[in-house]
Amino acid sequence: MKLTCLSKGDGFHYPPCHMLNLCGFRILIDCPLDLSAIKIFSPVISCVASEASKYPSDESLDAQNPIQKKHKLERQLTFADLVCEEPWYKTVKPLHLWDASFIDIVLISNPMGLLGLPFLTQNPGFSAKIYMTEATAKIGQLMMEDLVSMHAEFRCFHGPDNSSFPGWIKNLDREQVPALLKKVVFGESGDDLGSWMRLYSLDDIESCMKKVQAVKFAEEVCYNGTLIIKALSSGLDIGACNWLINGPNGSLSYVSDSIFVSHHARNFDFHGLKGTDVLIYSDFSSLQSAEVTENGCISPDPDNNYISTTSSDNKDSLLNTEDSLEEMEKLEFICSCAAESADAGGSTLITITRIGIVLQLLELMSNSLESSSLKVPIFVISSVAEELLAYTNTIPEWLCEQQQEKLISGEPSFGHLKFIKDKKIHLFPAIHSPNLITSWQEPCIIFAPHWSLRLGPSVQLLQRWRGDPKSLLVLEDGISSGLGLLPFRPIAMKILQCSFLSGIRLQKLPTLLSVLQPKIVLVPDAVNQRINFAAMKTISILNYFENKTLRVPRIADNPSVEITTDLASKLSWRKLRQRENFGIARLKGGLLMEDGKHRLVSGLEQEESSGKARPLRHWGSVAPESLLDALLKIGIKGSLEQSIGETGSDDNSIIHIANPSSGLIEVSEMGTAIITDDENVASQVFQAIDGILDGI
Amino acid sequence: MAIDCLVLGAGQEIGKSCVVVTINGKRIMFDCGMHMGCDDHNRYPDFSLVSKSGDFDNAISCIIITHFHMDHVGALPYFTEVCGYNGPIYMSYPTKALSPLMLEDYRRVMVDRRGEDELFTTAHIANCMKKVIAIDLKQTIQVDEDLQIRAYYAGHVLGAVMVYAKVGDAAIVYTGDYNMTTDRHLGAAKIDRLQLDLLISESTYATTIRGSKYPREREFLQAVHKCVAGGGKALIPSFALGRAQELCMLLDDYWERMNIKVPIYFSSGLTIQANMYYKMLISWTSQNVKEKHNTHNPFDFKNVKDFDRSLIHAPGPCVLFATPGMLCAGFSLEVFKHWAPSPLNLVALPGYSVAGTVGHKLMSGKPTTVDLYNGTKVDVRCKIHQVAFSPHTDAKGIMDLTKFLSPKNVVLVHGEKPSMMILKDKITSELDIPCFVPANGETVSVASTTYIKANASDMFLKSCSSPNFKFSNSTQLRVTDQRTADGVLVIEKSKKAKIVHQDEVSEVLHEKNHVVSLAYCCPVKVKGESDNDADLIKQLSEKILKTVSGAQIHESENFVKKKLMSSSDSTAARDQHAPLLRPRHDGSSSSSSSSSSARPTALAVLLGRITGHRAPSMLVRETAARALEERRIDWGYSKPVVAADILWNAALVLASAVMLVGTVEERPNEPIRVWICGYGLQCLIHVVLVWSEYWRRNTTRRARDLESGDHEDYSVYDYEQDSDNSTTYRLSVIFLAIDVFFAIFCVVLACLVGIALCCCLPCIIALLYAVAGTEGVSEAELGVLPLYKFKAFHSNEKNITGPGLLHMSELIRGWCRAS
Repeated sequence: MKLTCLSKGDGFHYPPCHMLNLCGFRILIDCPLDLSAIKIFSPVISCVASEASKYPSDESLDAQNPIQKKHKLERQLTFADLVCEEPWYKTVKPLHLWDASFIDIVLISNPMGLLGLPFLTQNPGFSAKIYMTEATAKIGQLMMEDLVSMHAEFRCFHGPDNSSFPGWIKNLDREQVPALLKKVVFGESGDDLGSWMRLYSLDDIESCMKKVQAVKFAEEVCYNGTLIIKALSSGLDIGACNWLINGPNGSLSYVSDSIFVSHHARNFDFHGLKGTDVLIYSDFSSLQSAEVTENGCISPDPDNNYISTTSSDNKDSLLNTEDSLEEMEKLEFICSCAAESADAGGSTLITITRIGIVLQLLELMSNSLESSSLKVPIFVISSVAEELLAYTNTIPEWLCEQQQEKLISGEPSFGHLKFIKDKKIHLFPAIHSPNLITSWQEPCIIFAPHWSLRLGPSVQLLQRWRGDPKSLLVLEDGISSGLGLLPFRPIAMKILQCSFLSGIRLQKLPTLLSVLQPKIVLVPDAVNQRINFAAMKTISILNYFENKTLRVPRIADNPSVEITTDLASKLSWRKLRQRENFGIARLKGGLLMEDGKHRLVSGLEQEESSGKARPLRHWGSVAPESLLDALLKIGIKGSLEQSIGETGSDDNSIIHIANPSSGLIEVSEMGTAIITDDENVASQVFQAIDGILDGI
Repeated sequence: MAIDCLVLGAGQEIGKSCVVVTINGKRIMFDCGMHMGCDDHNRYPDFSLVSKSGDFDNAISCIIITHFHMDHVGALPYFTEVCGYNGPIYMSYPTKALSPLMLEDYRRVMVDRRGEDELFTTAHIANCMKKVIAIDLKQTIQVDEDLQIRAYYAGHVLGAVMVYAKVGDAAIVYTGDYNMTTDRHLGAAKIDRLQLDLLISESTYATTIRGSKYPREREFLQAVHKCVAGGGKALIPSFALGRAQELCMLLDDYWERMNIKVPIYFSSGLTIQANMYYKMLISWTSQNVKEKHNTHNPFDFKNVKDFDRSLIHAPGPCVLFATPGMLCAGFSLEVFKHWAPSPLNLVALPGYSVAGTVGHKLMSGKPTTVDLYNGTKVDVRCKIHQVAFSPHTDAKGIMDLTKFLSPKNVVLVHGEKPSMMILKDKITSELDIPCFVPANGETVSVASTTYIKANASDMFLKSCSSPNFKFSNSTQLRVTDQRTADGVLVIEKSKKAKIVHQDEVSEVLHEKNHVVSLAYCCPVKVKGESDNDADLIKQLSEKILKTVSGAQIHESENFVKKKLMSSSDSTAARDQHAPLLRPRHDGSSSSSSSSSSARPTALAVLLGRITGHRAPSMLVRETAARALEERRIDWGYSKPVVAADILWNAALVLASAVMLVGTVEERPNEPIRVWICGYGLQCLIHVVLVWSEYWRRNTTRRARDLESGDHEDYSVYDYEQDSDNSTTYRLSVIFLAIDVFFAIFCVVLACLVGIALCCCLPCIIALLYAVAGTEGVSEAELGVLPLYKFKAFHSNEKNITGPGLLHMSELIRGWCRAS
C-alpha cells in the first residue's frame, strides 16, 4: 500500500486530497477546488473601483493581521491590484502530474470534494469508477451548478474569452505585483501555474455526474471483485462520509473531517471503522483552528489510558455533546445578532454556504423571529435554493436521529417548509428575479452565496450595505483577513466572523484511536508534532507529508482462500510416508476473486484427463538397496554398482537392469534417472520409485 | 451446518406472515403478521413453537419486518409487549414511519367500531416502535459478529424490502411481498445476483400471468367516470397507505386531463397524513416519480379534499376513498351500507380481499344482499368494479426472480395451496431447484454452504494470476489453463491449512527435492560410412540442441549401437502422437543423464527452466505456420481443383476446335484462325503441365507418407525433410507473389478503366455541354422545329369552344417562343 498526500487542503471548503495505491489499484480520494484562491480576482462591481481608489484603505486594514502588516512595509495592497478578468479556478496542483487514465477509483467523501471532479472527467482517458453517497452527489451537483451560474455573471461582464492561456497571469508576473497575490497565483515554490483552470460548463457537470455510482451509507460495493468499499457517515455534513476498504490483503479505513455529534447530518459512525489494519487519519481541521495551545503539544489525558479498557466510557467521552452544544450556541448567537440589527433597522447578510449550518440557521432564525414578533422577511437568494431546500426534506435517511424522529411523528425534517408556505422565507433564484423586487423590504435577513465574496448575489448586497453601520455581515472564518474584504473597503457594517466545528478535536484523537484499535495509523506530520502519541503503545504510527509517497508494509497474514466443500471432497489426499501428521493434496478447479476473497471453485471437468499428465514432484531420497528389492518384487532384476562422481564426494549408485530389457538406473542424492529404451520397463521402474518416495 | 426454516404463518395460506429461519445457529424471524380473516387465537402465529419457555430474547437474534401491511406487522406489538421480546427489530425507514399508523388504525377499527377486546394498546405500539432500528436500502447491517443483513427494494408498497441474511458462508433471501413490474408510484423489485442457499418467496399469484396494467387502469378510470357522470357516488374502500395513493394519483391525473370537477374525498385524516409521509419518503418511490419531484411533488393532489360524515347523504356525485379496505369493518362498511342500495353508485374494490370479509363476498359473485357482521342485511344494487391491480408479482415474476438468483433451495409461502403446488412443480422441473411448500408449523431443513479456509502463499497466488496455458491435441487441439493445479494443499495436524506452490512444498515439509527423470533411447539409422559416425552424431546433437531447447544429449558407450538419447519426461514419452508439440515436452522439464556424462542434473533442470519458458510457444507457432502453408499448397493441387482446371481448359480447346471446323467457309479479314489455334494450343499445354505436376506431387507425397510412417520416431529425418522443402517452398512463394502482383495489377487496371468510363465520361460530356451550350438553342435550330397554331371552331353565335385544330404556321414564330 502506498499513500501520497496530494494536498492537505484548507478548512471545510478545501478538503484534503490523497492518492492511494491499494492492491494494485490507484484510488483518488476527493478532488476539491481551492475556491479561496479566487479572491485575487475582482468581483463584478461597476462603481466600486472608482470609489475604492478614492479612499486610502490603510485605516480600515486589520492592524492585527501579520500578513498585511508585512505588506504595509512593502507596498499597500489596493483594490486596483486585484485581477479584473474572468476568474480561473485553482485545482489540486499535483493531481495534474498523475495520468488521469491510470486512476481506477475515485472516492468522494463530501460535496466539497466533488467540485473539482469535472476537470478530471473532462480528460478523454478518464475511466475510473467514481463512488460517492447519494446525498453528496445531489448536493455536490447543485453546488457545482450554482458555481457555474454565478460564474456566468463574470462571463457576461468580461465577454467571451477563448484563449487557452490567461492574459492576467502574464501581468501578474511583474515586479510591482504584491507578493501576496503572487503567492496565491504561483504558490510557495512558484510552480502552481498549471493548476489554474477555466471553469467547467453545465455539460461537463452532467457528463461527470453520469459517471458517478451513488451509494448509501454502509452499502457494500465491490470493485472488480477485489475491493469492497463502504461509505460510513462522518457527521461533517449531509452525505459526508469516511471510507472503509476491505481487500484481500487487509482492511483500510479513511477518516476525513468528522464530527462526533452533529445536529443535522448523521453522527460520525466510528463503530464501523473498528479494528482495521490501516487507518489513514486525514482530518486537518485541527491545524487550521486557533485552539491549538501555545506549546503546540497536547498530551492525551492521563485518564484516557485506563479508560480505554472499558470501551463504553470511551464512547461516552467521544460522544459528549459539549461540542455540539457549543455549535448550537454559536448559531443562536448569530440569530440574536441578526435580530438585534433588525431591531435597529439594519439588514443582515449571511454568506455562509455550508448546507447544514444554513438549514439550522434558517430554522432557528425563523423560529426566533416568530417568537419576537419582528416582521423581518428572510430571503434566500441562490439559483439552487428551491431545489436544495426541497431536497433536504426528502432525505430523512441521511439526517441525524432527532430529524429521523420527526419523520416518525410525521413532521418534515427541517422547519423551513412551513415558513416558505407562510411566506416568511422567500426563495429567489437570482438577485434580479422580478419577484424579489416586488417583495423587497428592508431591513431583511438574506442568505446569499458565495462565501468567498467574489461570486453571486452577496457581492451586490454587500456593496449596497457596506456603508450602513446598522447592518450586519456574517462571514465564515478567515475571509475578512487578507484579500477577502479588499474590494469593499471601507466597511462600516458590523462584521460577525464565525468558525464552525469542522473536524475532530485534537484532544479526542488518542481516545478515538484507542477505540478504533487499528494496527497502523497514518497521520499527517503536523498532527504528529502537536500530539503526544507515546501512550499508544500497541499502535504503530507513521507520518505522511504532503507530496511525498509513503509506503506502508503489509501487515495482514497471507490472504486466505476459500475452498468449496464439494471441491474439497474431490481432492485426492495423500498421507506422507515419512511424516505422519501431514496430509497433502493437489488442487483442482479454478481460483476466482469474489467479494474481495479468493475462492477456489470446481472448474471444467475436462481437466480430469490431462490432470495426470502433470509433472510429479518427489522429495526424500532413494536407497539403492530398497529400490533393488522393490524392483525384484515386480520382476525386474538388477545389479548394483557404486560409482564415484567427478567431484569424488558424491555417491552415485547405478543399477543395471538386464531383464526383461536392458537399461540402467542412476540414483543420487539429488535425483534418479531411468535410462532405457523400453517404455514398459521405464514405467515399471518409475512406479517402483514412486512407491518409495513421497510425492505429489 | 444447516438452515432450518420454520413456518409459523402464511404457510399454504395468505395472512399472518411469519417465518423463523435458523442459519448456523442464528435465529431470525421474518415478519410478524396477523391474520385479517380470523378472529380467534389463530389470528397470531403460534410463537410457542419458537420457544416453549417464552424466553424469546435468547431464542431469536432479530426480527425483520419487510413492510407495513397488517399481515406482516400486525402481531409485532403483541409479540414484543405481551410475549416480551426485547431484541432488535429491523424495518426500513418508511415501514418504521408508517407501521404505527397502520397498527393504530387497525386497533381503532377493532376496538372502537367492532367492540372487541383490545389486543394491544396505543402504548404498546409506541413501546414496540421504540425497539425498532430503521435501515436503508442496501445498507449492510452487522447484527452481531456473524449475522449480516441487507435490505433490497421490493416495490410492493412504500418501503417494502426483500431481506438478505448471511451467517458465516450461508446466505438466504426472504422476499416478503414483492412486485416485479414498475407501478404508478413504485419501482420494480431490485436485487443483486447473490449466492444463496435458500430463497423464501411469496406466491400470492402462483399461477396467474398478468399482462400490461394500462388497460386495467383505463377500465377503472372509465368505470369511475361513468358513475360520476351519471350523478352516482363512487366508493373505493382501501387501506390508507399504498393503494389509496396509487389510485389517487391515477384519478388526480385523469381529473386534470378531462377537466372533471367532481370532488375526490379521503375518508380520514389518516390518508392525508399518509400523503405527507409519501412526500417525505419520495426517494423510495419509482424513478419516474422521483424525476418529477424536482418541479412538483406528485403526492400534492390538487382535487383531493377531506371527507366529513355529513357528506354521506349529501346529493351529487363524488369519489370517496374510505378505510379500511376489504370492507371488513369501520367507516368504509358504514358508507357501503348507505350507498349500496342505489344503482347509480359504484363500489370499486382494489386488490385482494381475505375470505370472510364483505369485500370477498362482493368479489366472489354478484350477490343481491349481503350480511353484515351484526346481522343486518343490505341490498346491493350498486355496480361493483373489481380493480385488478395487485402489487404482488405474478407467476412469471416469481420464476424470473428464482432464475435470476438461482438459489440452492426454494421455499414458497404466502399463497394458496393448489396453485403453490403447481408452481412448486414448475420450479422443480424447469429450474431444477428443490422447492418446498411447508404448511404452518412445519420445518424445512436444507444444507448450507460452508467453505474450507486455507492461507495461500504469495507464490501460489502470483502463479495463479498469470495465465499458464497448456496445449494438447489428442483428437483436436485443446487449450487448458490449470494454474490451480500448481497449488498443493498442505494440512498439518492442529494447524491451519496452507496452500503453497508445488515448488514450495519441500520447504514446507523440510525435505529435499528428489528429481525422478526418464531418459529415452531412440535409434537413429544413418546411411554412410562408419568412420564419420562420431561427426554425424555430433551434427545431429547440435541440430537437436538448436531446435529443442533444454534438451540434453549424450552418447553412451554402453550400448552396442550409437544411441541418441532425447530427454523426456515419463508422461511426455507416452504422449508421442503430438508431433507438433513434441519439442515442448522436452523443453519443459527434466533432463537425462548417463554414466559417462558428468553434467549435474540440477543444472540442467535450471537451464531448462530458463531457456524453456519462451521457446515452446514460439516453436509451436512456427510449426503451425509451416503446416498451414504446406496444407495450402496441397490444397492447390487437390483433386477437385485440378480436375476443374483441366476440365475448363479442355472445354476451351474443344470449343475452339468446333469453331474452326464450323467456319471453314468464312474468309475473315484478320488472321483470326491463327489466333484461335494458338489459344487452343496454349490450353492444351496447360492441361498437360497441370496434370504432370499433379501426378508428380501425388507420387512424392505418397512416398513421403510411406517414409514418415516407417520412421515416425526419427525426428532428425523430419527436420532434414523440412529444410529440403523450404527451398521449393520459397520458390513457390516467389511464383505466388508474381501471380498475386499480376492479379492485383489487372484488377486495378480494370477498375481504373471502369471508373474512367463510368464517372469521368459523363463528367466530360457534361463539361463539354457546359462549354458549348451556354447560348441555348440557335436561331437555325429553332427554325427546324415545327410550329403549331391553335384555332378554335366557333359554332353559330355562341362562343363555345369546341374541338380546335392545330394549324402549322410559319408566321407566328415569335409568339410561340414567348409562350
